[in-house]
Amino acid sequence: MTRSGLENQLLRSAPALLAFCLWLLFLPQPGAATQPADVKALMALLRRVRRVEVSYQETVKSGLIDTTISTRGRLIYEAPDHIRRISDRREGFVLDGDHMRLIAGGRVVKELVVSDLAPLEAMVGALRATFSGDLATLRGDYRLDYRPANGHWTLDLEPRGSGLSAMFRHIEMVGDGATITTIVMEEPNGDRRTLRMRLLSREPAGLD
Amino acid sequence: MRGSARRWGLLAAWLAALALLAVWDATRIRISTDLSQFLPRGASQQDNVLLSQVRGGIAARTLLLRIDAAGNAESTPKHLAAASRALAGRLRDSGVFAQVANGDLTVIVGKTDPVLFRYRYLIGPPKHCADAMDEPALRAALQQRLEELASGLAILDKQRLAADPTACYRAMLGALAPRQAPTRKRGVWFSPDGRHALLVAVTAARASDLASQRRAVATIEQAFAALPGTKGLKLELAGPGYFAVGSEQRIKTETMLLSTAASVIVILILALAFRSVTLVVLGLLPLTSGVLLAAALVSLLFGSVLGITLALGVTLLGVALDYPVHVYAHAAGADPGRGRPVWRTLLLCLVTTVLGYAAVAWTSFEGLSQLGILAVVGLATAALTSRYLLLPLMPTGYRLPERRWLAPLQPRLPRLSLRAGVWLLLASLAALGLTVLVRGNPWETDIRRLSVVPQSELDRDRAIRAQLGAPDVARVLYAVADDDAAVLMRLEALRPNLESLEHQGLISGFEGADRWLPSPRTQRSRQAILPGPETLAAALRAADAGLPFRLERLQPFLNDVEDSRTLSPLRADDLADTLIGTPVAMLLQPFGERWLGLVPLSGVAGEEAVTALRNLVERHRMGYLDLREGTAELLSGFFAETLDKLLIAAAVLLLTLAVALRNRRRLAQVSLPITMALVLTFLLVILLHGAANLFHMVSLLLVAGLAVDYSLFLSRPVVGAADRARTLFSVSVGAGTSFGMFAMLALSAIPALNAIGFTVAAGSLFGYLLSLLLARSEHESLESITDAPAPGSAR
Repeated sequence: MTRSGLENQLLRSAPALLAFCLWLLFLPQPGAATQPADVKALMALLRRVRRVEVSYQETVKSGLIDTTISTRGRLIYEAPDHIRRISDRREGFVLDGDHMRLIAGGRVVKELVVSDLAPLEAMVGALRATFSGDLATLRGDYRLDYRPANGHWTLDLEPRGSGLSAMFRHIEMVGDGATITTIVMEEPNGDRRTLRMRLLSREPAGLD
Repeated sequence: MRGSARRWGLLAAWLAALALLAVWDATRIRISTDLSQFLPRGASQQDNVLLSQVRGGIAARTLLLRIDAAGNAESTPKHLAAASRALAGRLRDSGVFAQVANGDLTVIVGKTDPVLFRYRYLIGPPKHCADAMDEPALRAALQQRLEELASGLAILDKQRLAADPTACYRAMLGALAPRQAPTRKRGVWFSPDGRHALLVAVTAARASDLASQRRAVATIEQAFAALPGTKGLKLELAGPGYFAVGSEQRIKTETMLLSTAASVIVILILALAFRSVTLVVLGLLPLTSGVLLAAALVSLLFGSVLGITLALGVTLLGVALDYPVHVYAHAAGADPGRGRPVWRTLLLCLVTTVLGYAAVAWTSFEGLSQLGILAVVGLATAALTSRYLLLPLMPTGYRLPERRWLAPLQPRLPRLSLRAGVWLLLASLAALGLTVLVRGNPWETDIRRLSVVPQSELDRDRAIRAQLGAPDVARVLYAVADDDAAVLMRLEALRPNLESLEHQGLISGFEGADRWLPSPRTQRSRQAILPGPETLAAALRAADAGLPFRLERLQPFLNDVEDSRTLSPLRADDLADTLIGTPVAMLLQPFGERWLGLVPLSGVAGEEAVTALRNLVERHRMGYLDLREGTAELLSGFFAETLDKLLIAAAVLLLTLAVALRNRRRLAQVSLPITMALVLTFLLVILLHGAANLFHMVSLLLVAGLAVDYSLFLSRPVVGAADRARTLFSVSVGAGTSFGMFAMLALSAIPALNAIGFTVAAGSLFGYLLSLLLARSEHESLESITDAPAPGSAR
């Protein structure tokens, strides 16, 4: 094919190519398309998750210490209210409903009733309500601001009561579809806790 | 005309005086519902400790609350827990309760108690506090805090971390938790099956202060009713205070009903006997005068009148109802000059009964003392007003209605010889002796037998206690010393021994104020080991080596430890507004001029444990108290003293009769029916009720009073058939009213009313019949020649 022949062919097919490019341009982005439209939809999606296992890395910045503390481990959630978070150093907790077992060195060292301890209940409550898609509980305790965006969604939680706001200035959750990827908890004194998660498995499969 | 005006004037003056008395009584008399004041003042220290516990002990002031889903499927544990929290909050705010517990720890954990936080290094567990100040302990604590920061658990008390890196305050809070806690769900106490939320409220007021207990129960019921979202939930109450309030209501209702019925019977009998409304109405005035004046006098003497005294006192004054009857019967139609012998008999009745009742007043039991004075003053007033006010007020020309059947009846009534009477008395005494021998102790010393609480409520009480796992606080060790510090030192010395008994399984648990508040000596010893500022700063620096803590942020910790080194030890009086104020106040309290420390024991395992405890208290100069046994002993003491008083009363009565009658035969004639009526009534009480209680005993006094009345009147020398008929008539009417009134009370299911009603009804019947058989006069005085017409003879 001569150069002019190729040009001619391109020119002839130009309208079709343009149309294809335009189609591509206006085609909904694959990531953006899967983000729930509003917080109700997000919670409905999260409610469908029966089990999820993630690896996590948590970093803590506090005014009491010079450095950032970082821990890694695995977190498993099973609907409706089981959460197991164990670090690589075999420390963490197992939560069943209102009952929390603290683990150190791979052994249960203490058992707590979550609702006995308001700060613990606040922290665990936000996590549990988000995992289980419990919109009513979240709305009861926090003002919610949900923003779907390109490839991810962001949910901001601002405490309503003085009890919670004494513990958290702000909680930010970031996710993609039914996957929560980051939770940032910021305390009134500026201390900050960031939990980053990477999905390992989920039931039912194909929620994205 | 002039006489009529004088009568009206007298009546008006009497009524005005009564009205004034009634107003004074209504406005000035303070009626105390404190039942325990009826118990003795207490001779020994043990008695006083026991009484302080009966009146204000933890167990007696505890109300048990249970929120039930009442079969409502929508009432989830979440709803029940929310209702429990809301109710507990309202009750705490009410100020009526010294403590409200529902297992909710957020109240304790939520905010820092400034006093306890300041004193943490003096009173907190040494391991986490005073002993945690060297480098290894501080390093371990800092590492622990770092791990908590990493895991997120630091959020529990992060705001305290800079001042309390050893988590001393947290460890102190942990020690506050009850040693035996019930099942918990959603942060509050639940029954093991999860169907009921459970709460415990301890009233601020004394257990025996019924008015305050009533307020407490009403506060709980109103608070629950006002809670939002309790639809479908049911509140159930139990506990001594609740039962007492319920009993009081039941007693009030039944007393009102039966008293009205009894009054109707009395009025009917009087109306039938005298057929005059005026006489019936006037006849009530002497008794009313007696009650009003006696109550006022007792109130002036004692500061207040016990409700139970007033009730029993009015019962004892029942004998005063006979006085107007005698006055009416003997005055109507009789020559005015002949009123004298009747008055002499009436006076003798009065003096004998008053002296008998006076013996009761002379006692260490405040309740009995009040009762005696009330009865004496009331009787004297009723008798004097009957004689001097009632007599002139009788309508002129009033004649007793004719009763033709009475005159021919008299000679036919059987009469027993004195010899037969003595044999009868001996037989009755033998029967009584045999019964006591076979049945054992004739006194009812189990205070619970007087309970009017329905079985269903007692069952519920047992069920809630079992669900709460509430310890049996019937057994208590106690220490009395000059001040709180000395008591605490004794408790501290005792603690290792009790822990050893607990370890051996001889007791399942114990509680003591020293668990929360160490003695000043212990606090000073902890103070002494706190390091100085430089030493502590150096230890902290060394402990933080290789750790990321910013030492300048831990300056509050250094400041607080330094402050703790110069604090004056914390004392019981400083705790009022703190988290441990109530538990400490319950177990460490002022005791007159001294201080009392209590150590409630749970699960005391049999005689071996009791022996071990008794040995322990001897070594530690303490006391051991079994509240149930102690109460029984106290009641036995009460019976012993009351019996002594009754014997003295009997002796006084006999002596008075002997002096007054100056005739051995007549003395025997009068005293035989009285003695036999008492013996037979007592025998009947033991046979039918098993044992005699407080109310039977007091009622026996009235029986004695009534029997004295019947036998004295029936045995008095008459001045002819008409006088004899009048005597028989007046005694029969008196006995009829007493029997009718008290038989009505005997129908009551309330033990107190039933006991009083049964004893007096039976006693008055015995007294009447035996007086008729044994005491009836055989002789007529010389004055019978000029006899006046009898009520039964035709005129």
